[in-house]
Amino acid sequence: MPWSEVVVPVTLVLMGGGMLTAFAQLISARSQLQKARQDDERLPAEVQSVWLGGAEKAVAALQVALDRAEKQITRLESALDKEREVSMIKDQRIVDLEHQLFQMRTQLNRLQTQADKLGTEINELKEEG
Amino acid sequence: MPDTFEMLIAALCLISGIPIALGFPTVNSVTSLLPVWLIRCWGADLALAGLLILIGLIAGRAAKTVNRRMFMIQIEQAGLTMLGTGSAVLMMSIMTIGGWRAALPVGTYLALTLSCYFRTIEISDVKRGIERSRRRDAVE
Repeated sequence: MPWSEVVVPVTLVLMGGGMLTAFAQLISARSQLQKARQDDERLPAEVQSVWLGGAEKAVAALQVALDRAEKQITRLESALDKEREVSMIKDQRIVDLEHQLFQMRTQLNRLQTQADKLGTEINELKEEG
Repeated sequence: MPDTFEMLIAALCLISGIPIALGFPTVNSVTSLLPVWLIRCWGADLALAGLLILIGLIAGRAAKTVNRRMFMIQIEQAGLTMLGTGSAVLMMSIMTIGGWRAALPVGTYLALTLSCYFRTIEISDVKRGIERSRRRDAVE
């Protein structure tokens, strides 16, 4: 088959492929722009302004980031305080329970001694009787 | 300043693509090989490619945000893909008609096609790099 007969289908494939690729790139560009805008709204610091320069914008963006960092530190500190408080309550409870256990053991020993004494008395009475 | 060479090529494509798309006479090699409707499509492809590249270059330069600039670079990328295709079609036609005697124009259009595709790949790399740095920033 001579090359000149293949030119038309090859051209069709080439152009079709090229146009489809370009169309896909345009759609992807549009969706990425929307996604980037949504992401930027959630960004703590305005990275764009830092990139684009301008000392004021950069300082403002860093200030925002600093504020966020401070808030996070405060939040973490309060969480740590709560954890400490919970830990202290647990320690106190353990001490209380240990004390109660000690008292119970003492009482148990006393009762045991009393029971031994009563047992001895019973045995003596039986021997006399 | 945007790449003046790329801008010149884009303007040339736009200016020459519109009359071809409208059915005015064009390059002999293409006319003798392709049907009229396909020649018009080729012209439209060239014109659209030129337009997209020009928009991408000029508006990208004027863009005030990184997102907008990235969007315009991608517009330019789409235009370059179309220009690469159009240039490849012309190269193929000249090669078919002229054979080895047409080595110089074939080489020129081959270089144009390849440079379009290499620039497209370069833009994809830049996009990936920016996305990676964004993801890293988001994690940190």
